[in-house]
This record gives sequence, C-alpha cells and structure tokens, in this order.
Amino acid sequence: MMWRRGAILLACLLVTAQGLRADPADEVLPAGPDDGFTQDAADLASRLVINSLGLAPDDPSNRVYDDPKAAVFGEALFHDARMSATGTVSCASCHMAGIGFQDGLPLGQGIGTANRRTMPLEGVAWNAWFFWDGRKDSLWSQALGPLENPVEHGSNRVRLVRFLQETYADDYRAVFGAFPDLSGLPEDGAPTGDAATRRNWEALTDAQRHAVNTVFADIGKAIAAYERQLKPKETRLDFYLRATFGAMEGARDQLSEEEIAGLEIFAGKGRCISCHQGPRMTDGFFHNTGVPPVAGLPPDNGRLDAIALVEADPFNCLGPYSDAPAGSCEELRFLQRDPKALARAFKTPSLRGVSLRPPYMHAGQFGTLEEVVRHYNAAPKAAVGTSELRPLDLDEAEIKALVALLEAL
Amino acid sequence: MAKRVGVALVSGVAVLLAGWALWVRSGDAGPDLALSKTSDAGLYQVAIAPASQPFHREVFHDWNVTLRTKAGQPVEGARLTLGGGMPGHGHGLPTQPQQKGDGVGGVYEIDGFKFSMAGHWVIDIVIDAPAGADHVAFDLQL
Ligand code: HEC
Ligand code: HEC
Ligand SMILES: [Cu+2]
Repeated sequence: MMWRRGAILLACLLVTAQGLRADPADEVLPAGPDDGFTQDAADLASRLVINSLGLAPDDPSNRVYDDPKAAVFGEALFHDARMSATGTVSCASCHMAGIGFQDGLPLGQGIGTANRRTMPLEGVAWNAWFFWDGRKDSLWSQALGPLENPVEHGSNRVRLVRFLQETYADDYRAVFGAFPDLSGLPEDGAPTGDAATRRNWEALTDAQRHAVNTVFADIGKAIAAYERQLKPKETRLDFYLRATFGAMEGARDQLSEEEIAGLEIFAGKGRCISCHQGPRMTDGFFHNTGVPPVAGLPPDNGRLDAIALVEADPFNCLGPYSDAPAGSCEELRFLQRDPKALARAFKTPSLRGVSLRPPYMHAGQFGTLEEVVRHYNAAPKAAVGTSELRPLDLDEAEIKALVALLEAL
Repeated sequence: MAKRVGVALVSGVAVLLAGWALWVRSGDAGPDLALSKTSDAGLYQVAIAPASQPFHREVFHDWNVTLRTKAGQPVEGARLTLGGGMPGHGHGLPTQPQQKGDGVGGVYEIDGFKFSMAGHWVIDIVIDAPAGADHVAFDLQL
C-alpha cells in the first residue's frame, strides 16, 4: 500500500499547487488509507467522519437562532398539540425524538395524510433548503408551513398568534420583547384556509396583518433555535473512519469485513458518495434519481415547482420578516432556476441513522434498504425528467455488502 | 560499494514508482485543468481564479474572470453568462453565478459559485463583447 500513499501524497501536492484543494476536512484527517480504497474513494470516505461537522451554521435571517431562551421556548412549541386545530397534533407527533425525529410511515399523518414522507430532523440545521423540494430557505420559515397546512396542524396564523399571547406571553417577551399591537383580531384569519379564514384576513388593516405575520414568524424563529440543537450521533462508522484515516489505532474492527467492502462500494463503484457526501452524507442539493411516483398521489414535480414558491414566499430570506442584513441570502439570490435539471428532483437525504427509519424516499416508495440498493443498481428511467443515475452492475455479494454498510450508518 | 548500488537501486525504484503513480494519476485525471485558456474561436484569452484564498468547497465563493484579447489587451464591458456542472454525474451547477460590474481592467467579479460536491466540475463561460461572441470551458478537480 506504500505506493498508494505515495500517489496520494503526490496527487495532493499537485492539486494544492493549484490552490484548489483546501478543505477543512483535509486538516482533520491527513493520513492515507490502508484498506482497499482507490485514492479518490479513500479521500471521499475520510470526509464522512462526523468530526468534520462543526457547529451548525449561523442563520442571519433569524436573530434569536443562538439564544438558549429561544431554544427552550421553541422546544415547548414543538411539543404543544394545542397549536393544532384539533388539539391533537404537534410537530413531535410526526417528528418523534426516539426514532430520529420521524414517524416510520410512508406518508406523514396529522389531521389528514400528507403527500410526502416525514423527514428526520437530526442535523437538519446544516441544510440550506428545507422540505423534500426545498420550497423553504430557512428553518424558521419552514416551521410556519405545517402550522397552517390543513393535513398537519391545520391552524391559522391569527389563531396561533392569539394563542401565543394567551399562553406563552412571558416566554415570548423574554426572547422577542414586547408584542406588537394585536388588538381587534378575529378568532381565525390567514391568506390560506377556508373562505371565512381568508375573508377575515382580507378585512384586517395592513398594520394588523404585519403585526400578525411578525409574531407568526417569531414562532418559527423560536422553533428553529430548538431544532438547531438536534445533531446526528456518532456511530461505529465514525470510529472506523478515525482509525483508518487518522491516528487512532485499534478501532478498525468497528466495521465487519462485509461492511468495509460496502464502504468501498459506497465510495467507489456505487458512486453513492457523489451525492451522499460529507459528515451528513448529503450534498444538500436536488437530484432526479428516477424514484417512481406513487399511484393515487397528485403529480409531484419536486424541485421544479418549488422555485416559484420560495421566491414568492413573504417569509423567505429577502422578505420583510427576515433579519438578514443586505448582501446576505446568497442561496436565494443565486437560485438555480434551470428547469432542465429540476423536474422530479428531490433533496438528497442524510444517511445517518438511515437503517432505523424505513420506509425510504420522498413518499416512502421503498420498504427496505435492499430495495433501495436494487433501485440504484438498475437505475430505471425517470417517469418525468431525466434520472442522473446509471446502472451500477453490482453482483449479489456487492449488493449485500452495500446493504450491510447502510445498516451500520 | 554494494551498499551504494543498493541505495541507487532503491532510489531508482522509488523514482520509477513515483513516476508510475503520477502516470496512474494523470491517466484517470483526464481533463486539462489549466485555469487560463484561449476561447473556442480564438478571440480571447480567459483566466479564472477564486477571488480569495483559501478556497473552500461547499460554501459561496466569488471568482474572478480575466478577459484579454489575443494581443493581451484587457477587454471591458463584456457580458458573461455562467453555466456548467459535473459531466460525470449528469447534473448542472447547484447555483446560478452572476457577473458583477463591467470588468474594469478586464477583470470580472463573478458572485454565487457554490460547488456542492467533490469531483470533476466544468465551468462554461459564454462571452458577449464588442469584439465578438465566444465560449470557453474550464475543468476543475475540486
Ligand atoms: C403531519 C405530520 C407532520 C407534522 C405535524 C409536522 N411535520 Fe415536519 N415534515 C413532515 C413531512 C411529511 C415533511 C416533508 C414534507 C414535504 O417535503 O413536502 C416534513 C418536513 C419537515 C422539515 C424539513 C426537513 C428537511 O430536511 O428539509 C422540518 C424542518 C420539519 N418538518 C419540522 C417540523 C416542525 C417544526 C413542525 C411543527 C411546527 C412539523 N415539522 C410538523 C411531517 C410533519
Ligand atoms: C445523483 C445523486 C445520488 C446518488 C448518486 C445516490 N443517491 Fe441516494 N438519494 C439521492 C436522492 C435525491 C434521494 C431521495 C430521492 C427521492 O426521495 O426521490 C436519495 C435517497 C437515498 C436513500 C433513502 C434515504 C431516506 O431517508 O429515505 C438511501 C438509503 C440512499 N439514497 C442510498 C444511496 C446509495 C446506497 C447510493 C449508491 C448506490 C446512492 N444513494 C446514490 C441522491 C443520490
Ligand atoms: Cu456531482
């Protein structure tokens, strides 16, 4: 293996000479691999280790994002079922702490049934885009969606803001200061919902609507401060990676021979790591991978339809309820709108803890990890748009090894 | 003497091995990674570079594009349209980078690059300038 280390060293020198290979992960794990990885695969595999996940990135659009009081307040809101129309649904009904903050169902179940799979929330704060299609550009703005979604909490912002004032006034003031003037509000009101709810909303003055939206956005900002603390846990893979690529000795037996073979396929022949990369095993972007639509659900174009939604959203990073200073909001300002690549593209999920949360994909299309791997191996044509996958030509032993690795994540 | 021969042999083998490693590397590296090129129709010399060091993947980073005529004169007032992606993966750029300013001194600041993964990327630049339209593509190994 010495020559391989030599090659890696040389290659690294060559690339750094051009000034383009300077990644924080390089500093974390400088040594070369001893197992049977190719150079590129080894380099990519070494970056999966959880240490390279630092503090969750800041969000300038949320001024209370790192306020511990906001996080405590947000945690209470996250668990409060009184915020739903029926008094039975909270964020935690679908995002359950014991199982990676998801629900194990193919489609989320609130007041009604959602059209997509509940997403896990450990490590969620590292995302730039939220939901399977990324139609939200911040964690706080995301949290406002379920509250008014008729199949999730099914409430409306006027009702929620009044509830907050009645139930959590002290917590609110401690984090955000005084309430704006909320006098003269009806029971219900929102720009979406049933006819009466919408009529009430239209009857409000601009100042009333602005006040309601401000407090509504603050609900999201407190919840986001809580969600920022949710992190993936260290696994056997991390011990293995540190032993193999770093200085730590004696922990290599953390993974079985088969799992190591699976990791080699993950980082090499299987090309999984091109999208499932870095410590969270996701590139955070949107890809069409030919996952079949579910019969009976409305057509789902994924990222394609999300572009207009996020741009028009008054709660986006550039909107009046964002705390972001001018010149930030790069994700939104440099939004990729090219429709060619966006049809039925969905966000690459993190694979940490993936074995604990079947079924898989944006509408729970696959029941087992073996089905997932067989899908990638066959790389079927996409129903809409173009799949980025190509068939992998894995044999049965390789499929088994890759599944074994996924089980260990 | 025998020792000398031994040392020479060992270092010879080392050189050979290093050479072979390099050859193996360049074999699969493939594309020309030059950051300075002549445009397709030969109208311009184009150079690209990250606007600041160190360069980090996966975060927003500005790049500078320097545009000169064949004779080496800076080209100002051009419109640059940025595209590209990862040919090996079948996807485009995750963001839409944009030109800022008019290229004073032939240097154009490009905002909004974010390379979302490791590997071989291509940056496509369509150049529209008084001296004519042209195109150039750069390969990056990130
Ligand atoms: C009815 C079940 C349900 C409830 C209640 C619910 N969620 Fe979700 N959650 C989902 C589903 C389903 C998705 C994916 C929806 C989509 O992509 O359209 C999701 C996605 C998310 C995401 C995006 C994660 C990512 O990686 O992009 C976050 C964050 C989130 N929910 C937080 C919350 C919060 C905060 C609440 C409470 C205010 C909440 N959820 C209430 C089912 C639910
Ligand atoms: C082109 C990018 C890309 C590549 C390559 C890729 N994935 Fe994925 N992966 C995705 C996307 C996007 C999704 C979600 C797709 C959807 O729901 O429609 C996904 C979903 C998954 C899931 C389901 C996770 C969940 O929480 O539902 C697993 C498991 C998975 N991939 C494993 C793999 C493996 C193993 C490989 C290599 C054989 C691989 N991926 C290669 C992009 C990719
Ligand atoms: Cu790629």
